Amino acid sequence: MKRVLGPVPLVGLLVGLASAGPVSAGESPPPDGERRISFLVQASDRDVWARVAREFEEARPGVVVDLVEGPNATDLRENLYTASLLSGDPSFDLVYMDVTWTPKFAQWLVPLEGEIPPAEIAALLPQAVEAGRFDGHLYRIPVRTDVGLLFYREDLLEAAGVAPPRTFDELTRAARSLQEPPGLWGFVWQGSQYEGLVCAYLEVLRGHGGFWVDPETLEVGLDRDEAVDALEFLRRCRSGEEAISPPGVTAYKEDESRRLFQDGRAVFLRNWPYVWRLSQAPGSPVAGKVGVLPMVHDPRGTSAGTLGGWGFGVSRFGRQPHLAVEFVRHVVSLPGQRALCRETGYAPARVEAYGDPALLEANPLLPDLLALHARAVARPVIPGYAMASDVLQRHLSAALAGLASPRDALWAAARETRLLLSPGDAGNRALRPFRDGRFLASLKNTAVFTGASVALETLLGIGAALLLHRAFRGRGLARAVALLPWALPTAVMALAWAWIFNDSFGVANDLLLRLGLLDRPVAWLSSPGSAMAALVVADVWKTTPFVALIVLAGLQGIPHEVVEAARVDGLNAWQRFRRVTLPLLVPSILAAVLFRLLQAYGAFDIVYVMTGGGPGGSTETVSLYAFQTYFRYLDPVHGAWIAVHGLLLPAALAVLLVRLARPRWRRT
Amino acid sequence: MKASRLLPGLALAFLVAWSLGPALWQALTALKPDAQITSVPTVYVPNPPTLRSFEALFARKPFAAYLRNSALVSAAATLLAVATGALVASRLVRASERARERALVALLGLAFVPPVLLLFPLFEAVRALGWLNNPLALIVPYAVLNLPLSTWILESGFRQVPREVLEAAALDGLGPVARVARIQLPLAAPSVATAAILVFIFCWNEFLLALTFMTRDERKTVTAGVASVTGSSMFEVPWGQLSAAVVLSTLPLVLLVLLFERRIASGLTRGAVKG
Ligand SMILES: OC[C@H]1O[C@H](O)[C@H](O)[C@@H](O)[C@@H]1O
Repeated sequence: MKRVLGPVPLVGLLVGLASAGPVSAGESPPPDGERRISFLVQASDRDVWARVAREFEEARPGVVVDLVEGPNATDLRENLYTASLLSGDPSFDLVYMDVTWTPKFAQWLVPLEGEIPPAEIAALLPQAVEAGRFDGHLYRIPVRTDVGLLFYREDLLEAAGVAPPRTFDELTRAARSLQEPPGLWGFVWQGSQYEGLVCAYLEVLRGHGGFWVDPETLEVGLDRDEAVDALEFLRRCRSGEEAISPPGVTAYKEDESRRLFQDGRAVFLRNWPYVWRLSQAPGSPVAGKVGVLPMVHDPRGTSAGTLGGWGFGVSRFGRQPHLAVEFVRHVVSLPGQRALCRETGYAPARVEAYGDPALLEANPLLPDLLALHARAVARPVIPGYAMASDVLQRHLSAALAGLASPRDALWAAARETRLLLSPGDAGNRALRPFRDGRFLASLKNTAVFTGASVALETLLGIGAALLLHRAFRGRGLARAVALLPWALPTAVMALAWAWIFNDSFGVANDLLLRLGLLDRPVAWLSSPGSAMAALVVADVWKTTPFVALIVLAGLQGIPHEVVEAARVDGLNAWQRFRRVTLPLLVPSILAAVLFRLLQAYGAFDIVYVMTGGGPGGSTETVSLYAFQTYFRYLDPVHGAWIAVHGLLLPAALAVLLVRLARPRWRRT
Repeated sequence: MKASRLLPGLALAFLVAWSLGPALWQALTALKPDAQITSVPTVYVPNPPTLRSFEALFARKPFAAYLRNSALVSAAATLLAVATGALVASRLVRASERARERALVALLGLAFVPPVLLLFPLFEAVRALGWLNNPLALIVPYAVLNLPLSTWILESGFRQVPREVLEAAALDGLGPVARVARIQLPLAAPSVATAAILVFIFCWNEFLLALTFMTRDERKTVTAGVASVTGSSMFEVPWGQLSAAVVLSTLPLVLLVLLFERRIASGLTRGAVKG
């Protein structure tokens, strides 16, 4: 008899894998004397960092700086770093950090105050350095800063004799009088649901005299009138006859808005200093036509741009901490700052660099930036920042999408923010999900998704089974094809569906337009109702085959004579189905439905990939929220309670119900 | 033609188009030159077809490593799940009817636990073992999570093996493990194949654990790897490369389904209809 691979070689295989260890498996050791450090940057920053790295490497034979490309939204890169550091992974020696990350990342970083001479730290902008301190240590060294600016088309304003605006009203009026949508919009900004939206809102908020969270007292200012007025302003920008921002602004991040402006299709743009160099580059349609203003404000508030910026932390898990520190010191030295800022127009972290002739020549804005920097508005330095920011993003987004009034949205945001700032004792924590609007919303989304998907796929699945049960030529192939969607990876096909539902180039819009079912393209994934619909369609596609398969098996189990007898009795096709086939199918259908209900209820992959839970949290499922709480907010207690209340209890309930109902459907 | 003949024909055509459509669309997108991907109005057929997107994908991402990792993890987990499932199943077929039913239902219960619920404890366990970024972090959980399925399928296969054969083997001095390996597994080969195919598909498709336990790019399996292909702005999402990635990562499964539709169908329904 042939020897079958049994448990013994398997154990060997596993032991082999385990002893390879997480570090060395599948990697060749570095050549002698080679030292590598690595970090993650956004794709569009790759070139400049490659330049900085090359200078560093040239002076140090055997040293290699590896750049890993990450997504553009700062929150997504934050998630990648978080996942990596949470697992103690040594891949990244350096953490290229946003200004808001210090409290959360401190636990994984080396304190730097003893590693870098005080004089070198004193040479950097004090505000930017401050953002790197937590619990009495310095964890992050700033290498560049950012401050929100208002770019405008100087040529257009001059030609029309309009003075550069200083207040929100003046901005609105100027934008309205100069714009000619859709070719030329008045005002573009970052309205997508991510960190950039918080930045854009924060300066409007300060401009109205309001505040978000006071980091000292933990007071929350989101339910005050100033906050509501600030959001009203943003909402008015893109709604109604008088809109000054394109409807698509709610999908823009920095670079989408910059492109519109740079193509000459917007009068005003809220963005960071990097826009300047790009807009002046040879070939830019707006070269020589761009002016820069401090953010506008109203009489109650003060003009302030949001303080942004990037810096380095040194990972505790990296293998080359000393080399990493050396790299940071190189980047903040004058030559390093030149390499980083000259071509990009980034605002340096080193004070001296603002007077450097080489940099000034490339970027005449520098002196203004230094001044604006001093009165910028900072985001609160609190350990729960990521969650506080997500709460705010979600409610801002909901209000911008018209799902809630600005007041309601901000009141909910304020309530949730207070809750997360003072989570309370153990008992409170266990029940916290029920006071957490986001949890309740995720329950509702999950229920809607589950109900709609399972209902549709049950109906379609029964239909498909009946079709495939008939005898016809090529039935085997047809069955295989119909089964295909079930076998393909959900996460991967979710991407395929995101492409199908793409608003500009998606085939869904194209087909529906051709068929006359739509009269203009729908931005499927960026408006709440249609995003949920798109998810349901994708899920129905994916799982109908499963239902069909089970029902088909049920059909095959029905003795032919029974149906024949009914035919002889004179029942027509529909009556035969209704009175004979369907009742006999009930157990199969119930089994399929039960299975699918539980599966759909736990949905994660499809949502994570297709919508990320957006827009405005409208498609966030319980699983996704629990996941984010655990792996993004690093709040395992809340995450676990969400999972218990939102997933375990319902699943247990379902199983209990089935046990109770079981005897009855056995009989059928 | 009569309506009663025409209607099912049309419905069938729609079913086939609907099932193939999304995957086909990806294939078409992957073969288009860049300009045609984002042209308005939509271009349906690549003209001329090109493999540029595939080349770009491999240049930007360690895609071959993703595929290798998926193959390794799925194959090892399948082996483990079938081997342990066989041990459990061979014990179950000897148990009393009542005990067997109970055990099978309990196993089925495991399949109902929402995956995110298992993720947190698994993550802590895998981290404590120092397995993050090690293929074991996926292999072992995948094997365990698929144990119910493989046990279900193997149990019903093993039940077809005549008792006398096993008894004779025992008399010949074969121990319990050897009986599983030399007698039950070969004689129940169709069930073994069914279990292996299904478990393999589930492992290849898994995303949640793959996303969380493998944080280094060159360690990712294909599902998490594909999801990590991004562009530098929404105008620059490399849809051609993404489509190429979708095509490559689904191709093995398309083949499995086309070759083994019957087995997959029988395996799935055995699991579900019995419950
Ligand atoms: O998109 C938001 C981000 O934009 C810029 O990169 C800022 O420097 C950063 O602080 C901010 O968080």
